[in-house]
Amino acid sequence: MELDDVHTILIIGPTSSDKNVDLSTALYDTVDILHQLGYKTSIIVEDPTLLLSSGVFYDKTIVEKVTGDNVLKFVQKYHPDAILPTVGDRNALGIVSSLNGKIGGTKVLGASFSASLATFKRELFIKKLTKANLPVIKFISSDDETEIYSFIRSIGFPIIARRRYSNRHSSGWTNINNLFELDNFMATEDVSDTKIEIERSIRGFSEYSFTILRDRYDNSSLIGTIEDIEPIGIHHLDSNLISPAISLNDSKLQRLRNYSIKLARAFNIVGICTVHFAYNHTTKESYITEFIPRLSEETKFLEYATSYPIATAVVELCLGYHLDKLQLDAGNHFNGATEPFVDHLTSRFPQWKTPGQKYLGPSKTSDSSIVVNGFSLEEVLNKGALNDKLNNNFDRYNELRKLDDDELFEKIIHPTNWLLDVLSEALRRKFEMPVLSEITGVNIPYLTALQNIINNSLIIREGEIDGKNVERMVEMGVKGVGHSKLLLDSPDIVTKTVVKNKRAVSVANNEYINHNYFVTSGISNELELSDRKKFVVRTPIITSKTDIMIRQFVLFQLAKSIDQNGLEPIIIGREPWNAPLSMRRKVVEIDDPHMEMKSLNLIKQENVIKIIDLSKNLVDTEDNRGFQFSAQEIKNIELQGDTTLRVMVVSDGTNYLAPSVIYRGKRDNHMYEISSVNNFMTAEDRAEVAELITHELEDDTEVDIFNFEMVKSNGHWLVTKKYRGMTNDIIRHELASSVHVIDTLVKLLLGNKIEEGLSLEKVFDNFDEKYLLTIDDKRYKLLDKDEIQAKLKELRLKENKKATN
Amino acid sequence: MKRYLILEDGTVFPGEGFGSSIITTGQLVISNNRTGIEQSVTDPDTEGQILAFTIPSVGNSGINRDFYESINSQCKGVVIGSSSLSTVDGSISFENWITGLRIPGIKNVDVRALAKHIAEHGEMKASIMDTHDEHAMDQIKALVLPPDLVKRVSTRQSYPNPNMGLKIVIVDLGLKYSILRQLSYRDCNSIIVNYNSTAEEIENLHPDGIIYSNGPGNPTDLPNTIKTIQTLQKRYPILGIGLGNLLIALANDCRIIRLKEPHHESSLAVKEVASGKIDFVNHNHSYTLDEKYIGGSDFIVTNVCVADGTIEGIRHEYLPIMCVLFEPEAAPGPTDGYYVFDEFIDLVESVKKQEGVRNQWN
Amino acid sequence: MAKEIIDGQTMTRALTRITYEIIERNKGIDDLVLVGIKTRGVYVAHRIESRLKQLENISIPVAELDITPYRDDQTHEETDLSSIKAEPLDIDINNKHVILTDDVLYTGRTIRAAMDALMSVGRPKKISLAVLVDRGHRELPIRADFVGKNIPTSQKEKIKVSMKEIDGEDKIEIE
Repeated sequence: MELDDVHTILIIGPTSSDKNVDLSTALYDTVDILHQLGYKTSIIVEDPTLLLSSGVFYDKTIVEKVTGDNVLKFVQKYHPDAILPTVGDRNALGIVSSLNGKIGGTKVLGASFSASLATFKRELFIKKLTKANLPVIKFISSDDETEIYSFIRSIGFPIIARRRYSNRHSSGWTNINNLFELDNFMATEDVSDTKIEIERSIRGFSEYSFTILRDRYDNSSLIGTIEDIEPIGIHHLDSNLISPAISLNDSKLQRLRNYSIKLARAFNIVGICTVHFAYNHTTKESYITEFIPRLSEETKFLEYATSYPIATAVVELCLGYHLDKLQLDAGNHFNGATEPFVDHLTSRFPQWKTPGQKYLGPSKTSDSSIVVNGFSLEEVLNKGALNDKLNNNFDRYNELRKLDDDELFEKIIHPTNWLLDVLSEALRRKFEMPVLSEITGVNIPYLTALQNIINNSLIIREGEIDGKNVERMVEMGVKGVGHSKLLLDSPDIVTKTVVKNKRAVSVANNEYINHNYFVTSGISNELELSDRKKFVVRTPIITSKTDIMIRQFVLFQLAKSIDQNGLEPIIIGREPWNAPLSMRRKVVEIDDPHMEMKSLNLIKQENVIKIIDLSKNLVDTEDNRGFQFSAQEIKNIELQGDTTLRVMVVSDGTNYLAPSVIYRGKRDNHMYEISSVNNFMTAEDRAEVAELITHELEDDTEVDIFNFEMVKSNGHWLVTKKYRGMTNDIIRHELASSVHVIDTLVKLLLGNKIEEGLSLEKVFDNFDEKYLLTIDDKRYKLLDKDEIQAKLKELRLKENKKATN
Repeated sequence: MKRYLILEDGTVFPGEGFGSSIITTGQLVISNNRTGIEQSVTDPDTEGQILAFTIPSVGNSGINRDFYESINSQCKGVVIGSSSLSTVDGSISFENWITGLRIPGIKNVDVRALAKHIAEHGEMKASIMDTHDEHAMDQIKALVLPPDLVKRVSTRQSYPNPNMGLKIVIVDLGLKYSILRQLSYRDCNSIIVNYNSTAEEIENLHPDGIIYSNGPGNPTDLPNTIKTIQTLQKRYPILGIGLGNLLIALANDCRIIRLKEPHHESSLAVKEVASGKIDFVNHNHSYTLDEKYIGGSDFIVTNVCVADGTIEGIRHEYLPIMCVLFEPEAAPGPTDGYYVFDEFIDLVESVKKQEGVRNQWN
Repeated sequence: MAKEIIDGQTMTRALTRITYEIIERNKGIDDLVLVGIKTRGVYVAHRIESRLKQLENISIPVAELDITPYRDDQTHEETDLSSIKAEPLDIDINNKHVILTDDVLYTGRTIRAAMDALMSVGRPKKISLAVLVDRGHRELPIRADFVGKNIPTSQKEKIKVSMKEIDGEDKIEIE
């Protein structure tokens, strides 16, 4: 059944760009299942922190720039049976298309050479799609008038046109809607050596994306559909996304589904393929605008929306498994031949780090996203894009209110990331819906939903809350301020605020359990908890990618540790956390954008042992079970030095361990960091550092994590910074050190104690074999003991410079 | 207006009324169709049923009047969660459309909880009412669902769907128009007849092949139709779809069973046994064939449902009879099943050819 | 230029239909033997065999017959058919119902050669013929019992059958 000539696999890892945070779970799932199925896996990756694990799954971890040359070098040296590019973002497809004919017997799994190449080369894409009789935007580049006019006759108006000059520059695209405009365009001065490029205009079309899985035996299933609230022209990931695509009727849906399957067949893509469509609901025209034959941010969103274990399925399909005979883990059968049916909506709203307005266009500008669930458009809009706590919509509202109609109209014509707020304001001023829809390309049902929300929140502002209004508002996702509780206590049969399981009907195999909940309205509560004692982990909303990576990592390690220590991990967050598959079946995740879980009181308080809070400020200071996990600055002396140590300490209140020390040296304008340097510290250094820590911790009598920064000054260490809680270093400490700080912390929180009277050797104990060298915070190297000692020696030689204020 | 969906077992689901304001009662069916509510509501299979749709934001995609599966709607009521008040293509809104069809509807119902309840307790009767007092309960308990569902939906008069190709007689047990669309696409010259037509009446039409259509209800309520099949199957190629399949099985000493989890889903995987090919097709059936009796019969199993192994298609070993339990005409759902009609046409043509050869040689 | 006239799905379907017809016309498939004419006829035989196995849960034997040098659709030169020395089959065909399988049925000379070869190694009860494509232009009184697709062709045209096992994909092209 499986490809029997593939045993060793090289994974082309993601590049270390912020975008690839979304791929970390997919990568983890992929390697996890490969490991369980007995494949030998290696990876080339730039930033080992993306691996989410300390590398137990890998045969070889190559920390290098992810380039064609490095992949080729690996292939020539180790001759892997196959290369897997599906978890390596766009770069991996580029590499694959450059490897054509160079890698001998090594197979490429997933995306073929031609598929990879066609994602880059527009001409090839158009040629291949035209040959397969798939709708693609016709394009011409010509200097022959007859040819140009005959092309325009064949495609009709509207079109977009531009001139391409011989120096490879080109004019901007001009919109041409009729003969008059065409004459104008053609009449403008004609420079010789100029080519005219013309395309069918798809401005204002609605955007959809369909993701299908396909096995080697030509079985395909549609895993999920997404629609953009914003039209084509605004980057898909800057748009507000809704899954499933609710605005397609049966024939439209089936047509696009058939196109997607046909495209995957035409390129012989085995594994996954996401196809993007431009659809015009007036003329019923549709075009394929691009396809993505790999895992991506979108597939991550779909994996969350549908509960289908996409990453795991994709790698198995690549290896030749039948769609209906997949494995969740070694021995656990999973029928992948389902088209997940979801009875709720899942939405992805883009987020920007800074609050101002940003004009949106074809290139992506957003920094992260928030995912919410609900049963109606109003509910997901209110929980996500219009959630005041997340987006400061009230500020936006006040600012937009100050604009006059013309200024507001300008905002409607040139879409910004405030578009939904702008539209709400326009609707409030009774701008006509069809006009707004026509100009913005936002379909009417969304405007109607906004109107609905406006109508109902007006009631709220005027303070006329009666039982009926509350019920309606809860259905619409307008919550907070205890309304939900009010409903829950209502004796009448009304819709209540409850917690529902987020799962797809068709994926409800008995083997596949998914404790993934969201707070919504309804009459039955689906939250099912085990009898185990619980650790609740609260997570705040995060917009920076680095922080997301850290959250991803910390939550995973926390959940794993809580589970391994015999407790039930419950993760409650403003937005959901997409746990790796192996954890998804053990952890209870609750998506709670309005932070209502506490007032709903659905988790028996006596079963909760600790509440670990990842937010900057404790949500609940009265509850003494709360444990603040994120860093609080305790001490900060402005003292800079070329040589510093960063020490992570876990303390039970009396004794402590310092299993991870990072050495940092600034030499010749480069910053070098070496992990787990505690293994090479001299006895004197150890004693000195230990003494400093003991001194600093004199007054701290509770279980906690501390981070110290020490500067070497005049041959002695000085404590310059002290943090309580976890800093950004956590991933490096965890990954680099074989002693798991987070697990130790969980054990201490459960009441375990650190052994009394440990020797300094034991306090600093760590049995690492590989060491991470970080250069200038962005280049990484994985070195063995001898290599790292040589490097350390070199750095130490130049150590004794003075510290400066 | 506040209305209530009341189940036979006394469970009450509150919601908001729309459409016709009459009190209605019927068999409650949970539909997991992703699209094509127009098709489901006008599908004659839904005669006597209250349909509960589990999709969110119903009606957003608009109402497509090309999607009707019969001229009038037969369903007794519609239950939905959230609905969209306007449509993406500017067509009539879902609620107005339901009002126009004079069907009672109830929205803002927790359809998730409803679906779970039915999955646990089995399909049951239900009623949409204005109150949820004891009197309402008594009413619903007293109601007996009529057994003559096919009689209500089958055409009384034969009618043609003319074209120039093969002559196909369709026995209307609750025929969906999309079956006719598929036949028209293949140039078939079809005649649609009442479910109680005798073998002689059908033979007098000189068909090249016969189709027993989909339809509502329990097949054991149709003994006459079964007898007709027993006569006709020796002489003509036959395609059975849905209820038609069940009747053909009963005509050949097979047994049927009620599914524990009925299939009402527009996209469910079916595997072709011979080739292992997986197709996603529309399902709308509560019965299937009892596997125990297939072995002893002259049928082979040609299609099975991937998810639960239910038999979804059979074929006679030596007579030209093929059957599917799913809905190859889709409407709604993926079009993967269209090939069933091609296969049937092939079957009819190959029988014709063999007869031709036989005639030549004799 | 080659033009695809049958895609993979249609080919798969045609093979399934041939299988149904084989079941339909043979009450009991116990004494069946499939003999595939090399190269693609063998794959046709194997595909039919796997379908029969799935449907009836009976494995029937498949043998290969190599008469490649004499294929009529590649050359029109006169060949001395008597010089064919068939490789001995590794299964007993005596008193069996042999279904010969090939991808394309054209002049009929290949089939005749195959039948001669079969007769020289045993005495089958019956020989039937199953082909994926019948393209006409018979030069011998030979008729296929099971045909996937009838494709009218001119003699100038070429039919090219590709099968996944050897060509990477399933399709039939005309050039």
